[in-house]
Amino acid sequence: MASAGSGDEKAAAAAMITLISSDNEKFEVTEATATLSQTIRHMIEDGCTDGGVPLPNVTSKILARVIEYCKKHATAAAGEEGSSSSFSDAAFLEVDRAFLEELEEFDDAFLEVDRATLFDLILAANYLDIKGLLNLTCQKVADSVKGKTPEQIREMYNIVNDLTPEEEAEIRRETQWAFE
Amino acid sequence: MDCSKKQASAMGDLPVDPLVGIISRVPAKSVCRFKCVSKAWLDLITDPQHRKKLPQAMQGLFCQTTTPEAPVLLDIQDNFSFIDLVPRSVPLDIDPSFSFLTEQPGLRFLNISDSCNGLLLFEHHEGLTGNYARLGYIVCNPITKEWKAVPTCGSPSPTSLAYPYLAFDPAVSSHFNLVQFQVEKDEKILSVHGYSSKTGAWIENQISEQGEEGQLEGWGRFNFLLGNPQSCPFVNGFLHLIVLDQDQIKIVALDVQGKARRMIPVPHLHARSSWMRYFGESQGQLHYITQKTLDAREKEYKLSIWVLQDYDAQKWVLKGTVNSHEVFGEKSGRGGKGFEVVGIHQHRNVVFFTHLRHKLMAYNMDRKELSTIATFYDKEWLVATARYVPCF
Repeated sequence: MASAGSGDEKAAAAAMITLISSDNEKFEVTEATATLSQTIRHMIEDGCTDGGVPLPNVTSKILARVIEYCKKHATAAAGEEGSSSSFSDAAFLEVDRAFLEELEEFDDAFLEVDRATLFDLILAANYLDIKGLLNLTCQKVADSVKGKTPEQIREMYNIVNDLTPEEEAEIRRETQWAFE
Repeated sequence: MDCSKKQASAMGDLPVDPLVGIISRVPAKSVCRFKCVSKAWLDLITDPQHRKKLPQAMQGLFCQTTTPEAPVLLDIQDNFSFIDLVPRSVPLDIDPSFSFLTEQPGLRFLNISDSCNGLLLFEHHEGLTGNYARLGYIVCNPITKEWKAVPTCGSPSPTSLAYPYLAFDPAVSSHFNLVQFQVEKDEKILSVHGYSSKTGAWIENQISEQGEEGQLEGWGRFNFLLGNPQSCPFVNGFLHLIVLDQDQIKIVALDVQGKARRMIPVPHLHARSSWMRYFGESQGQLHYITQKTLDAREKEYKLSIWVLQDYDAQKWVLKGTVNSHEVFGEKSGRGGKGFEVVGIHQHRNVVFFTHLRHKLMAYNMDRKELSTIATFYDKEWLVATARYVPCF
């Protein structure tokens, strides 16, 4: 960075980033939270975050949820760095385990959303390139679709079957075992 | 960028990458089903770029056959075949004779040894039968025709044999591992070595170096239990080896470096007059098949198929039984004599049998149907099979 901070306060202030949702709501977050998004990390590296980061693809409702996720996981990442630099004795492992369990509980609760919100979170995670959130949300959808029939999938997600009867018959013949 | 982009509520609104991310997280069976959802889904699943990331279903079996009368004269290209289990309109683009290997200078006598999630392991010999010195191993991907020669490990000895196994999961890494057990003729395990295609090197013996505790204590002194076919299934990131601790059968789970990590008991599966018939993997779970003789003249027997349903709790569940009279009775006239289990389907409740090493049959446990999937020539003799799942 061009100007080095002289005190803790200044460093902390410099590390704040403003995110602007599609409906023009501003969110102040720490750099550590924001950089869970690779997209924002690259913007920060390129020095183009002055005046806030506009996110025209993400509504305030979804951005608030995404930030909630990033805050929790940024703390987790910081915690991991902290423990790896110290001796990994039993006490630290115990703390780690408790924290991981807490994180897992957070993730489970975080996913308690309706389908539309879940898909919006996937879109946001994809756009912002937040690997952990994308993995989490994709896994949630995967768990809900596995074992389902094509008919159930079409119904669940309003998909129109545009395969011709001949095409479908051909695929069914080749994949017959999967329908047993 | 479209600022007024509508909210996603349908799967079709998702960009391709997250959709592939979702489908990559369902089992191969679901991926197969999803081809029927719509044209977009079919295109997505069969797209050459995307299918690399998606779980693939088992397509068939590679078979190795030999002619007993004149094994040395056999041309290797007559030796391999592929049994396609999928009724497809366009044949799978694979070369069942492995000419991309056999045409390599200096590569001639290959034996199918193992397969794992798309890769095949061959043992490379100076001659066709096991009496010739082993030159090394070849690991190949039949669909991409990529292959890699792996040197042998340890010092060959006339009193010991080496058993290599593949560990490979394309969802985890594009690299594969080999674990090789060197076993004395008296079935004592001499050494366990691991090879990684990432480092290109074998690591030192994992038995002598370690001081295991608890259940694993002294496992290296247990006997290697030779099965037919000899298998070491790769499940949950671990290879699983059947060992004999005095008269008790146990399973040792080893990591891909060959280090023993846990012991899985095989409890109560062995009733009187029953023995292990097969050990393998299906649908991501360990399967263990026992055989029990039902009558005094040993003509009729029952196979019990056990599945390790809960890996962590080590809970075995009886999945089904096969009565030899009911299944083979009329066909063989001899109550299942001459039938051997050669494998189980990776994604279905299907057990593969060979009859007198001349026929290959599939028994569907759900439909209770036996069908012949291959018949070999008169003087051909089935010596090995390997399940095949494409890894694009």
